[in-house]
Amino acid sequence: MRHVVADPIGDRHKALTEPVFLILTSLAGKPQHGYSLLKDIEGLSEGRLRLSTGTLYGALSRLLADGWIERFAQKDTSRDKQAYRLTPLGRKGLQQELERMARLTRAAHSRMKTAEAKI
Amino acid sequence: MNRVVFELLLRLYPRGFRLEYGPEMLSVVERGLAERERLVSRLVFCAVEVCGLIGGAAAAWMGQFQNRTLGAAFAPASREVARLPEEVHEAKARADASLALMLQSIAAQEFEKARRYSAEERKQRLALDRLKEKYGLG
Repeated sequence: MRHVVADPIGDRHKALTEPVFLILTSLAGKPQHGYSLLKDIEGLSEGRLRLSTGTLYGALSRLLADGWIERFAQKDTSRDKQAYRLTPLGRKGLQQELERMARLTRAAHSRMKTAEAKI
Repeated sequence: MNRVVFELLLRLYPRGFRLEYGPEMLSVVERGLAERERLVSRLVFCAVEVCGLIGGAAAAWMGQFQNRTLGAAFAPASREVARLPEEVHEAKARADASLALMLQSIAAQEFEKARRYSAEERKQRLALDRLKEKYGLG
């Protein structure tokens, strides 16, 4: 299965896809099961992104294989549900992604300002 | 009717993936469908899910193929898994799935079901041990 990141711990960290970024962001708040993840992601993306079940579980299986998230049986429910939560490695990966995005945002703002100054 | 269609679509996935995530995926699709009352909304939902499941199955097969052939180069975290013979990998997935279902049943206080899954898990672990012995995996 294609991995989300080739080097999960190192600094040379590939950009995460939007579904993976949103899954990690959703799990950063609290553990979630499959359906609540879908609903939360829809809310986080302001209704713009609605993942299909196939896409969600493809991403979850890759994140599990990479050790970024873990699965556990939720105790407070009467339904057969597995919940997912971030591992410390996943939290670190999300943090690196946020820093990468912040650097890009700063660079974009800086170039916009330079371009505006020239006009 | 819908359940049958989605169960058939899940059969497109590799066996290990299906055993591990199939019941959960089905439950997510059913909840999504139950939430939609209008026919148009149900149709759109079904179309998106069908495409997603077909695409997801293709990606899962591609991933399995990559693990088998290019795993060492592109999937370092899965190297050990990729080296395992297919039937060992499947037996492990079956045992893990039974364990997960047993834990779920205990959490839901469905102890009769939990006992069944526990017996199933023991059976699968024994089968896994026999396969490991066969392949000299210790």
